[in-house]
This record gives sequence, C-alpha cells and structure tokens, in this order.
Amino acid sequence: MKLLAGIIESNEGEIKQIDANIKYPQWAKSNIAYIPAGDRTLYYKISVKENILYYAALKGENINEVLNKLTYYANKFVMEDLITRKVETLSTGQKKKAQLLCVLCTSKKLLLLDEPSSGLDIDSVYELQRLLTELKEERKIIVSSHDFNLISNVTDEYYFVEAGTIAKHHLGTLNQDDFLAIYNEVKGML
Amino acid sequence: MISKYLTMIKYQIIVSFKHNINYKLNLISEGALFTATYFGLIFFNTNLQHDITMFIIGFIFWSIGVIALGSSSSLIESNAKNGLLELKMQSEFPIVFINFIVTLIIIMTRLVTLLILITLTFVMFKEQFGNILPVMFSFIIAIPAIFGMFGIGLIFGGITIAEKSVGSFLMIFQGVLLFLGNTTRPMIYSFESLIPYVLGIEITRNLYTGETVPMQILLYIVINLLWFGVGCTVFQYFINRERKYGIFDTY
Repeated sequence: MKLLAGIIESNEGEIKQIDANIKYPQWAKSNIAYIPAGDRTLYYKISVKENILYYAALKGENINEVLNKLTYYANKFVMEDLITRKVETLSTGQKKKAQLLCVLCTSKKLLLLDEPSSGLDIDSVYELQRLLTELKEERKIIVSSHDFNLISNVTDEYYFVEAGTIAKHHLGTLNQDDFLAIYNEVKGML
Repeated sequence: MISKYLTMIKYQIIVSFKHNINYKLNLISEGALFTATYFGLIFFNTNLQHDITMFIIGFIFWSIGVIALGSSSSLIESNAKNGLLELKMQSEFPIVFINFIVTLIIIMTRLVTLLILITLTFVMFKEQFGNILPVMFSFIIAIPAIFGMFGIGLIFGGITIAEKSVGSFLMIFQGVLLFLGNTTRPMIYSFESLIPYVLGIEITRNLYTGETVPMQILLYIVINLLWFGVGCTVFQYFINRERKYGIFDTY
C-alpha cells in the first residue's frame, strides 16, 4: 500500500500510471489518498474536523468542497457530534472513522484503505460496506483487509496475497462462502 | 497554485498552534528552561552585566537559531514516531517546506517569551530605551540564520530517519553552540563565523556601536544559504534512502 501511495519505492520492478508524463510518486501525491493501518497519522490534541481540513490542505484540496463532503460523510457515518471532538477522546473505532473521513473528503481518484475495518463495531462495518459500494461507482478503491465480512459481497476484484506474492486472483464479486473457499484453497496450496 | 500554498500555511498555523497549546506542561517546561538559561547567563556571568544590550543581541540570535535547529530535527523524530511523517510524505508540498512553516510558527510562539524577558531586563537593569532599536533589528537580521540553523537541523533530521533517534546529542550540540559562538562574548576566532548566526550577532553589535559592516552581510547570507542547501541535500538523501530501503514506521 505504501508503494502504491508513493511513500516508499520498490527495490525491483516499477509502478506506472497511464498518464506517464510525470514520475509515479509525484502522480500518487496528486491522485491518491491513503490511510495506513492503525490510528496513526492523526493529531490527537486537535478535533476530527481540524484533522480532516489539515489533511485536505496537505493534499491541495479546495476547502469549501471538503466542508461539503464532510457534512455528507459525517452524516453517513453518524459522526456529526464527533467531528468537533478532540481525537484523543475518541474510541479506536471512532478514530478509524476519523481517518476514513480524511480520505473520503478529498477529491482523489484512487483511495487506498489499509485495514479500514479494524476497531469498527459491527454496525460501522456494515456502514463502511454500504459506503464502499456507493463510492466505487465514482472512484477506484483498493482495500487491504483480513476482514472477509467487509470485503465479500462488495469488492469487484480480489488478490489473495501470501508471503508477499499474489497466490490467487479472482475477478468478480465473491460471497462469504466462495471467498472462504478460495482462501482455504490458497492456504492449502502453500 | 499560490492559493493552495496559502491554504496549507493557514491550516498548518491552526494545527501547530492548537497542538502546541494543548501540550501545556511541555510549553511551560520549555519556557521555564529558556527563562532559566537567560537569567542564569546574566546573573552568573558578571562580564555580561557591563553591557546588557550586547548580551541580549547575542541571546536573541542564539535562541532563534537553536529553536530553528531543534524544531527542524525534533519535528522529524516526533513525526516519524507518531506516523505524521507518512502523512506529510503524501502531501503535494515538499516536506522541508512544511517543516519550515512549523519551525517559523514555533519561533513566533517563543518570541513572545523572549520579548517579555527583554522588557523585564530593560526595566531591571535600567537600560536606555533607545537601545531597543538594535535589539529589534536583531529579529530582522536573524532571518538568514533561521535558514542556516534549520539546514543544520535537517542534517540531524536526516540522521534521525536513518538511526531512528539522535538521543541527547542535539541538546548537547545546542549547549555547545551557546559557548562556542559569540553569544556571551565578542567573536574571537574567524572559524566561529561558520556558525550560522555568529556573523548576524557581529553585524547587529557593529550597528549598535556605530561601526561599519562592509562585507560581513554578504558572507553572512552566503554561509546561511550554504547550510540550508547542505541541509536540504543531506535530508533528501536520507529520505530517498528510507523510501528505497525502509518503511517509515518502525521507530
């Protein structure tokens, strides 16, 4: 995910985008919004809203558009009352939602979500699932997850990665049973 | 593009200010240490009491310099530990530019303490208020030194990225600078002028005593631009190295 986000560089091979006029890391900065696993990358002593606006400013976003998106997504995530609270007062799941709001409120074409459901309660996972279904119509999303509840029934394409290599690729949405069947097959193969 | 930069600067000011103000104990302890150093130097060094304005000029340069040095370096270390370095690495703006803005904000915050201390000193030592002019000049003449000291801080920051921490080495270096340069005494050796703020102090003191400052200004600017350039280059080297062989999150 960090390679795709342009944060680190590969030792072998390379990543290229269709518009190859600029180097990939530079393209990634302008077109990708990434949230890492865990609740790092948030300032704890300031509010969720301030974190979102700061992230947007770092990504060169139009702040008025970000504020409009924030109203929409805060409502979706039932976060209206939380966005003015300091991050340090939030639960793990709420911090995760705050991170998600940071990337969702940008206008970036590609969203990279690393373990987005970690710490989320069951309702929030379903809400995230609904949101991903809605969002994938307008943007590309790459999710790295161990949570098959989240990624089954939502994702259009699956890469099963084991020990740093792609063990299996599946095109098309999988339900939970099919997902687990492929997972077990991959595990059995290794 | 300019409006993007202005928006980023605006939100960096808001975030840095609110973030710093919320770490109250840190703010108080840093202010106390700063005040103690200031008055310690005045009261335990009787030579300084002969010309308090000369000392204040030196102290302004040293304090602005070490803040630029310290914040440049410690910012990178703390950002790396809490994941904010990854956040800034995603930014459309160069990380050096972002950190320079943060450093300026920290300097501005500390200037409030410094101005209070200077006013107190003027009252305590019954200094002529006419001397306030060269003191105020110090803040302007110190601007090139901010770049130079920030550049040295970037070297420490680069080492931090590679080694994960520079420990107390930075604090020792800041202390050594206090006595190595001309903060508390006149400049003795020409090599001292390699310290970014030393020639700034000389220039301001010469202005204060009515002496001329011919080539010093040019040399002062060149030395600081060089340190800034070297700092940026070294820092970029370590960032590129980490991007290639590291992952930015094991601190």
